[in-house]
Amino acid sequence: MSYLITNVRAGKGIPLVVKDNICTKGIQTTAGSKILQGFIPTYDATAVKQAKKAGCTIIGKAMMDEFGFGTFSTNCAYGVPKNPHDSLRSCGGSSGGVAGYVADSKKRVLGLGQSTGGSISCPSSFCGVVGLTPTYGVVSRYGLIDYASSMDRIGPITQTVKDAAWLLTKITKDSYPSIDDLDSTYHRTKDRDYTQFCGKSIKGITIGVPKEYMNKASKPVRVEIEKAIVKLEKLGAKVLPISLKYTDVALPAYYILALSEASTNLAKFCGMRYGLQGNIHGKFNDYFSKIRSTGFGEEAKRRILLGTFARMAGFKDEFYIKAAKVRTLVIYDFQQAFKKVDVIVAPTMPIIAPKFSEIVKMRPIDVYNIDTLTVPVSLAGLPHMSIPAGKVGKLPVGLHLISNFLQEGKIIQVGDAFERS
Amino acid sequence: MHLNGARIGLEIHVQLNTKRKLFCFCSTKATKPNTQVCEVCLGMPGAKPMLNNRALMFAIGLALALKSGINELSRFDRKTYFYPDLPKNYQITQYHYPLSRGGYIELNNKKIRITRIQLEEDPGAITYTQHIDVSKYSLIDYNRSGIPLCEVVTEPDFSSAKEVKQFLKKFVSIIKHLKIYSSAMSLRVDTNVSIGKNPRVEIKNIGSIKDVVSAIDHEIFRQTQLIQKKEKIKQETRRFTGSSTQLMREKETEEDYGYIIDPDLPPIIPGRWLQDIFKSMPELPDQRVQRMMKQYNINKHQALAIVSEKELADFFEAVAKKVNPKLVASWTAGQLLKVLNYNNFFFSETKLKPPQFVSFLELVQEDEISDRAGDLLLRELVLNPQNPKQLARKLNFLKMTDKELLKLTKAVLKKHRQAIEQYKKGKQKPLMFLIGQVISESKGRADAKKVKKEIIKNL
Repeated sequence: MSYLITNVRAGKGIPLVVKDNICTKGIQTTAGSKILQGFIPTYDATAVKQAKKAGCTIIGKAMMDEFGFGTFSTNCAYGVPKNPHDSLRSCGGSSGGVAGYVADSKKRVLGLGQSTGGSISCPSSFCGVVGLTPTYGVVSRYGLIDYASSMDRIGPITQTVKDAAWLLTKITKDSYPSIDDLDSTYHRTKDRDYTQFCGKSIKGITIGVPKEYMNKASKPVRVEIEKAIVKLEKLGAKVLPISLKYTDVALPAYYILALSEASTNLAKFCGMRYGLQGNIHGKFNDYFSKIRSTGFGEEAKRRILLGTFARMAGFKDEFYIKAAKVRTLVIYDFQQAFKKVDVIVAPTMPIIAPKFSEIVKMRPIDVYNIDTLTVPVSLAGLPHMSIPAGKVGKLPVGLHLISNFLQEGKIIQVGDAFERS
Repeated sequence: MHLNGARIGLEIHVQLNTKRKLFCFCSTKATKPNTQVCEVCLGMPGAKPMLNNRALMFAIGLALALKSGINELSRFDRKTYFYPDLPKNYQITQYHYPLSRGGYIELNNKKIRITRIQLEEDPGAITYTQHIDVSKYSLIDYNRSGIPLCEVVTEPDFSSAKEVKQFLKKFVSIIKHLKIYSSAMSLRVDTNVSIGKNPRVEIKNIGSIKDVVSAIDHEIFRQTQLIQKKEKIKQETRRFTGSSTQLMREKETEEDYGYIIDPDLPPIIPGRWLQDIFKSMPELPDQRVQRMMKQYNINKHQALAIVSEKELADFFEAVAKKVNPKLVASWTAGQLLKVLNYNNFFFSETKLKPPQFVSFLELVQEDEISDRAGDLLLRELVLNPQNPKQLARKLNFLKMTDKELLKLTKAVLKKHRQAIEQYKKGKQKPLMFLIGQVISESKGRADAKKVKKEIIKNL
């Protein structure tokens, strides 16, 4: 099955599949959009550079929702990846190509995904692989084509928790004093080795289960998650019910902030210096409009319009500014919870991978609502990881592990113990 | 024409003289188009900005010099508009939380208040192959893209173009003393002009102090005429063509740039640098005036005039090492500035060097040249700097030597025997006539007193 936009002849090393919004030197990088057709970056994203340094070799650039705009990888200008467990169903999104490829491969292969509102967790859950989204900032975003700069994160999508821990260790490495690592929001982690958290017991670890999250899950998913929680208890974890009361308002806040940022991030694509080009004549505004009208897909246009609206004078206070305040409350909500628990567990997605025939019937708002469990952690910038936990029929269910800032170690420890049991 | 009630405000965009651009490692100095560019300043996908702290320090220095209140926390914002010279189609600037607010510059008799100071990136530069209206295509040079700009916004406290000129000269003197600006960098000004309660008109993107002054004069004239004709003044944006202001667009509503905080850049918290920058502040123009008054025993009027341009003040101090400072001050603040103003020159536009002025002043001091001839000689020197003594000789400005004078006197006396006879009979008038003759034949080089002595001696 096809998961890739661009196949790359692999060299020696550990095969690595990279989401197509992460720049790779000399290899076409489209972010899944027609407007970037033919764009060949002159540089490697810092995360790619570090992975290569650690012995990885790129084997392909994977399909994705255009600029990350989607939950099912159906908004891709270069084909739609199909779920390796059922080809009538979606891989999830927006890192669907990476998760599908990693799940489908019989051999060991690593993936680099990217998340803004859950785009690593969602496809990992639907495809039954491990998707680790680290704390905002610990992996340099230099070379990542922006969706919403204050939430975008690069992270591993792998077959095992140990692989995820290994790849995270490599890509968080400080590339200093390299002068091309220009991400001002990069947070140096002193070259921590995340694999040290594998192979440990989880006795005494406190796990919180938010009732709001459980209530949103469909029944078959909830049953699998409840089984997983029992298993964690058996492994020695202490389980506590908790409440995250800002869960519902996180979703609109996320979309307002993410789309406001996206509408400025996508302004640069106008057919002038790279990507899709046309005959330049007439007024520049007409030319820009022509290129943007033909180059962007429907969902990209919708999100640019929504985001532009939310930041215009007269609406900004009601939307953009208010959403920023809600974001603070969401962070506060989690901080209160982490006073009581080490790790929060929940269903990654409220459903199993849906059929394409179901997806076409969904309205945009229905699709946005499916992100409801991954959006709060995305707004807050907290580390989270989806791991396979049971199946509904032949389709995987993802267990979501969430920890406090820079506590990736804890979710790796819990995830690895669960995987081994 | 009555100018009562003109209110003028400025937005000054000054390029900071850093080695590197504001958000990347490209050099700010480039000769060939599009050679100092990278992913960041070309807005390539995936590139991110990283603040050049040097530019921030320059801007903080300026805020301190203008006594502007530096905000404990400031942020960068994205100002979105589509334009081919703007690689990301948004400009990184400061809107919600600027670097500083308040402050002032003191002119001779009033304070001009500063509203805010902010840091931002310059867009690329567009050049047209022909006039903008007919040019078939335009060329874009992204070398300018990302050069740090400091924007200084004033309150509408000016009431004339003359005050604006005084202010801008002092402003430039301050940024040159701070060494954050050099004449090779650009300084662009937007100004808004209103008269009485009429709407304000904005004139955009004026490239020099002289043009700002001229544009404001033209705009006040235009608006005054409209008022006299009882026509309505519209709120609009105009540009200066060099001889008048021209309509760019009418402005019914403010343009909406949809500002959001730039999530790629963390907040600026300047606290930790303030003390160091404050301690290492160089001497500023106002302090220099005070010091020079004491050190050279010159009056305030002279000191102010000399420090109005940093280059002039440096020039003065270099010359004052060699020649009596009071003489230097009187000639610098006097005739030199008069010649510059008459020609509408800034001192920095002349190539007159301190050694040339030193030897000029020596001619004056040694009495080799009359004050009148000195004025004329200096005028030539400012326009066309060269060796003053050679020029004076060429122009026949040097006073006569005693030998020359004796020779000339004798020749004149020989020609006017009749006058001598009459003088000898006790009349004074013929003596005056003879002195006049000698001076006239010397073409002004002979000194009247000396001539009189010489004539009496030779009779």
